[in-house]
Parts: sequence; C-alpha cells; structure tokens
Amino acid sequence: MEWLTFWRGIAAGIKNFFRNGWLSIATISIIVLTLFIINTVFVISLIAKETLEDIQNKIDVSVYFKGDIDENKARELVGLISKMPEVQEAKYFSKEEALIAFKQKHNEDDIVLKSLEELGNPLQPSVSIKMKNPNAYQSILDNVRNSQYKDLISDVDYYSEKKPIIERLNNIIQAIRKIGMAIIMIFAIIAILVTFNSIRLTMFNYRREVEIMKLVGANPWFIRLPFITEGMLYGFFAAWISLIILYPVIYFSLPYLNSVAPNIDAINFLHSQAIKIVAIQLGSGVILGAISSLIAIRKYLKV
Amino acid sequence: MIKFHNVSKIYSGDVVALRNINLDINSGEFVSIVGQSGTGKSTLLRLLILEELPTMGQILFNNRDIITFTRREIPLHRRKIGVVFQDFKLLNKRTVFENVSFALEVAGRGSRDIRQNVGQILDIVGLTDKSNKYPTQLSGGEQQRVAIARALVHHPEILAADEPTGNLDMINTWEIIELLLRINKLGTTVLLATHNKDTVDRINRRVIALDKGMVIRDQKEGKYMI
Repeated sequence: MEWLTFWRGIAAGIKNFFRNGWLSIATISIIVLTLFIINTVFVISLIAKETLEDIQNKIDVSVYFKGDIDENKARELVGLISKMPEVQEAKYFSKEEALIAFKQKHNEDDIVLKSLEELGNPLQPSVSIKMKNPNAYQSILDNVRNSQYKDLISDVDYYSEKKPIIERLNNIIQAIRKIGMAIIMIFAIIAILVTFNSIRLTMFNYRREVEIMKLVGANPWFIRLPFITEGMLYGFFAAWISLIILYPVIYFSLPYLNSVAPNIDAINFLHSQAIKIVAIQLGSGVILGAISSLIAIRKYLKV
Repeated sequence: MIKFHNVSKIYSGDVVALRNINLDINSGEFVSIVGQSGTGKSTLLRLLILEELPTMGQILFNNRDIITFTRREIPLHRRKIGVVFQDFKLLNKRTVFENVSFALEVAGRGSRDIRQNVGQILDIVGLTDKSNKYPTQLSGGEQQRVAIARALVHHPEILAADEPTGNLDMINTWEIIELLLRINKLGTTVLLATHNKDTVDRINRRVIALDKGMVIRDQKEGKYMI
C-alpha cells in the first residue's frame, strides 16, 4: 500500500500541474527567463575567453643574436629550444633570410631600400619562438638567457614588447571570467528567489486542499508529494525550454559571433557542452523546484 | 469512548475559550453541543481532532490520551473521526466522487475498494446520480451531503459536525439532521455543534450547553436552553 500512496501522490502532482495550466505556464516562463539569462552570460563569457586566448596564442617571441656569432652554435640553441615540451615551434632566421623578409615587407618604400643598400645588411640573425602556453615564455627565456649560450644573444623582444601584451590579455581573461561568474551567480540567486516565490504563490492556491487533506487524516508526506512533484515538473520543463531557446539564438547570432571570433564554432561548442549544460540545468531546476515546494508547503502543513 | 478531563484552552492574551471541561461521551451517542457563537463549541471539536492542543487537562479517546500522540499517530487518529463544517470545505475542481474518494486515497486504500465504498456512501447520502457533478453545480444542502459522505467514507467511529446547517435553509437543515440521525442509528457516534434551537429541540437527544467556555448543562434528552 505504501507504493500505491507514493504513486498516487506523484500522479496527483502531475494532474495538478496540467489542471492549473496557466499558473504552471507563468511559473515556468519566469524560471525559463532567468535560466536563459544565465545561459547567455555563460556562453558569451566562454566565447570571449576563447577569443582572447586565441589571440594570445598567436603571439610569438623573437630572440635576436649578435651579428658576428657562429651560426652553428646558434642553430644548436634553436634545436635545443624546439625540443622543449612547452615549445610549439622554434624557427631560425639567418642574417640573409632576415634581410629578404625585411626587403619584402618594405618593397614599396624606396627610401628604406636605398638606405639598406648603403648600409649593407644591418640585420641580426634571430629565432622566432612560439609556445603552447603564452605564460611559459618567461621561465624558458630566463633559462636561455642564463645558459651557456647567453653570449650569443643580443636582445629578446619578449621583455620589452610581448610581455606587457600577454599580461594584459591575461588580466582581461581573468576579469571576464570573474565578471561572468559574478553575473551568473547573481542571476542564479535571482532564479532561486523567483522560483521559490512563484512556487510559494502556487502553494498559496493549494492551502485549502492541504487543509482538507489534513482533516481527512493524510500523512504529511502524502500531502507533500504532489507539490514536490509539481515543483520538479516546473524545473524540468523550464530547463528544457531555456535550452531549446538558446539554440536558435546562438544560431542566428553566429554571423556576429564569427566576426568577433572567427575561430570559434559556437554551435559545435554548444554541442560538445550540451550534455553538461543539460545535466546541470535539469539537475538544478528539478532540485530547486523540489526544495522550493518543500519549504513553501511547510507553512500550511503545521499540525 | 471520549473523556474530557479538566480541559482548558486559553489563547494568548488571556482569552479563555474553554474552562475546566469534564465530559464523558459514550459510543453510539448522539450529542448536541449548543451555545452562542464564541462559547467554545468549535474549539471543543478542534481539540478532539488535534487541530489544537489544550492548555490544560486530558482528552482520552478509547482510553488513550490523544495529547501524547506523535506526529505519525495524528493522521491515524484523524481517520477515526469524520469532520463536517459549516462551509463544507469541498474542492471545487474535483467532482463529487473525487471529493469523497479523496479521503480514502489519503488512507492508501486500493482503487476497487475506493469505488465500492464511495458508491455505497453516496447511496446513503442520496447523491448517486450527482457523482460526476462539481460542487458548484450543487445546492447548499447537496454540498453538505457530499461533505458528510467524505467524512463517513472511511467508516470513522465519530462524526463531528461543526454548525453543519449554518448555511442552509429550514428544509435542507432538517434533511441534514435526519441524515445525521440515520448515520447515528447505523452505529456512528455523532457530535453536533450548533446554535440552532429548532433542530436541537426536534432531535430530542443528549444536549450539552456551553456558555463562556464552561459546561452549564448536560441533559440526556435535552432542549436548547441557556
């Protein structure tokens, strides 16, 4: 008989949910709205973060050698650097290669080209280094500068030029992560309060029902069960609807997203995260609904 | 069956609802509790179903002090007492049948059992043909009969009616009273709280008169006198 009571409670909750269609729709839409804002902020902050990291990864650092060094020794160092696990690519440019590149870059600037002819080749051989993680430059370059090869090196543009850029990007990424988290937290709290309040209103409608249930000798858990079921249904539907809305919104804003962040495939990203997002939202929606109803019904359940 | 022993109920602010009540109600009795509004009739019934706790005294039901009941025992206790109110307390979104079957569902009874019992009880109160109607489609007297059916469907030992005829006209009132008498004849103890003099005089059964929270008269075949 215990199972019978249990199923009846759940069935009653489902029945209530559909019988009070308008109330259910109103409650769900409010939850959907807050969940949707949370989703949007989450996606935007993720895209912003990925974009900035993408830019950060494009940065490379050049180490310039002195003009009169032994090229074999320089190549030896480049070989060592390119074998480091943190390094994605290390490429040696000899004096001559640097000159060709320079000429190509300035091939329309006659004055520069003429002055080059008079000077000969003033350029230095160099190695251009790209790392997998932009934050690894510092320690590796420090090591190189203190190694046995330090006499070869005349200058590293990391310290003067690249370091401030990398650090600034780092700061922006951190800030976006923090602001995004803060906004999500705020809206999560709003979602909880709004959900709780709408469920409380719903329960207010049921106070008569609860009173009668008490009178005919219903077990308190039997009274709670329909309302918990109903609260869980709110959370369940709200989570799905907010996800279903998110898809077309992202789809139609793709052109804009791509102009900002050409390398990011938002739809694919969403697909890869979908299970996680669904799980979190469904879970939190259902739990939120259940807990809200449990608290809201308490007031009318006093013996 | 029911014993009130030195029961007092004092609300905060020194409002005395009941003062030193001593009563002894036997199984199968039909007891009218009379008195003006605010003399404690409803409080007496509310104490009996443990909707409120007495400030002092003991209430024995089948020789057990109901005040000592645990949270688990309270619902079980309430299933032994059917309650009827002046405002019927029906659920307007449920049919007559559903309103009555509700009381059995709550008790965890099987579906076939419920159909059978509800059918029987609706027959007793004379509402078989209205079982698919909603309360708003019924007259006041019919609504009260639905409430009585709900109170009786789980075969309680006691039927406690708090001003059940307060909202009804004379003819409907007498129909309800006759129904209560018939129910009593079938073996259920009936407690009827009312301030309607005519009905009490016509019932001609035990009358307990309350005034200012005290029992001022208890007669075996009483009239309404204060």
